[in-house]
Amino acid sequence: MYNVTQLIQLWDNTRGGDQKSYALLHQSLYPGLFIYAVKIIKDEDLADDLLQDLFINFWQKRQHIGSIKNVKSYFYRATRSIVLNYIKSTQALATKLDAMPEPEFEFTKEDLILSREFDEKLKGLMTVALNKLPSKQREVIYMRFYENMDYNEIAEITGTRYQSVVNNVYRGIQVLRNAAELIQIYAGA
Amino acid sequence: MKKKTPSVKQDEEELPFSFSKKAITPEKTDEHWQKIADELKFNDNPPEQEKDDIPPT
Repeated sequence: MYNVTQLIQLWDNTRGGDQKSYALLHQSLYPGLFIYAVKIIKDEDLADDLLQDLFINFWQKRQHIGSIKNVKSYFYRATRSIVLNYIKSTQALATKLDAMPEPEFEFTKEDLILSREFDEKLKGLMTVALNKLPSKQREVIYMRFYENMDYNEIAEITGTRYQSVVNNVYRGIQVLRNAAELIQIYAGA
Repeated sequence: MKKKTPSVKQDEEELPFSFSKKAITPEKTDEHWQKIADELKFNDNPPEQEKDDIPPT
C-alpha cells in the first residue's frame, strides 16, 4: 500500500510515460477499486471490464489529466462515475432515466463481523438493517469503515459537501446501533 | 430548533460490527493488469523484483 505522496509520485512518473509506475499504481489501487465497483454493479466481470477501460483511458489521457492532488480519491471518483454511467445507460434503454442513479450498495452476512456470539440469523438481521439504510448512508458507511477513507476523501469521491458526509455517516451509525440494541434484546430473550 | 451537528470524532470506530475485508489475490490483480498492458501494447511489464522502486508503507 502506498501513501498519498508515493501515489502522487507514481502518477507523476506515469504522466512522463513510465509504464512501470503505472503498473505499480494499478497494483496498489485495483483491489479496492474492484471491490468498490462490484458493490455497486454486482457483477465481477463487468467491474473488471469497466476498470480495464478506465486504466486504459487514463494512460491514454495522462498528459491531459495533469497532476492529481489525491490519486486514490481521483481513481475512486472516476470508478464511481463510469459504473454509474454504465448503470444509467443500461437503465435508460428500459426507462426514461435522466438523473444519475444512486449507487445501491448491497451487503451480505459474509461482509459483517460481529464481536459477540451472534448466530447466523441475528447476523442476517444486522445485514438487513444495513441494507435498509438509504443508499447515500450505505455508501458513506462503506467508504468510511470498509475503505477507511476520511471525510474529505468521501466528499471528493461522492461529490457531496463535507458536512453532508459527516451527517450521513452519523445517521447511519445511529440507525445501526439502534438495530444492534434490538438484536441484543432479541438474543437475550 | 437547531439541528444537532455531529462532530467528526463522534462516530469513529463506533459501528456495532466490523466489515470483513475481501482479499483480492495478487494473481487476479496481475491478470487484470496483463489485459491492460496487452491492450496498450506495453513492451515491458515490470518483473516482481523491480516493483520496489518506491517502497510501499
